[in-house]
Amino acid sequence: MNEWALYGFTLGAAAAALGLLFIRDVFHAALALLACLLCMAAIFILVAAEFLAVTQILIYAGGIIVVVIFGIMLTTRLAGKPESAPSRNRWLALASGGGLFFLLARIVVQTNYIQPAPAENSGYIRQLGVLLFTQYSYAFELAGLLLLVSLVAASFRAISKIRPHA
Amino acid sequence: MPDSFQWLLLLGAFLFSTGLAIVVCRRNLILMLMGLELMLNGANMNWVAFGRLYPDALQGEIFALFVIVVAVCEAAVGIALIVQVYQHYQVSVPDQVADLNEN
Repeated sequence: MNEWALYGFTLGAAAAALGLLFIRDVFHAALALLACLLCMAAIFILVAAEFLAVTQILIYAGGIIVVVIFGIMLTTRLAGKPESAPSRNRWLALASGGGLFFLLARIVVQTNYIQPAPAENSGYIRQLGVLLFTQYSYAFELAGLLLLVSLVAASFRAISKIRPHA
Repeated sequence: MPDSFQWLLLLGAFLFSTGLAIVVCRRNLILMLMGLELMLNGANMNWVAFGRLYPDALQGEIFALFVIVVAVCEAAVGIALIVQVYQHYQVSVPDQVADLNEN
């Protein structure tokens, strides 16, 4: 049962990613990205990474998608037709993407993994919190600083007016 | 049929390759940014899959958390720059921003 749910959500995420590649309308592509991110959150729950799943939903589905949709709104002429983008370099994209996937899939399938007996892990979120505030506290604070600086810079950049193109 | 661990790794590889193809072939700046997000998610999927092999070690998931934080920074700064480019040039197609190209 669990395995089949995992396969289903994996196929869903892959299909949504393909949709992002082929859908012409930018807003519909954003919705496909949202579906892909939610499928990945479901996969995280199925592999017992609940904290990461909640983070994925809150930050990606709640934060990044909203920012992206605001970006679409601000860069689309409201009176005109919906923003759509034709593709270019189709064969280059097919060659690079398909070739990379072929190589990676060959490596994944051919490698022998040493799989230890999976141990039941209780108190997972407690362990994660302790690790974040002891061993990784420096990186944690640094990530917070990076987030603060980049958000302030982004809002400053977005509101400052520059001379329109002559 | 590959087992579920290899299945997760294949999904990560697929998301990364699809993101690369999107960045190469789509002509809208916001779509290219979404392709970048897809590539970061493919990398994250690898961290989670290898973290599942060793459930006692949480390093993989912690690294995935940091990847998500950096993805937020990247998306915020990227969207701000795209909005500025749009206000300046009135386009969101990078090929049409060709000022440096002409002189």
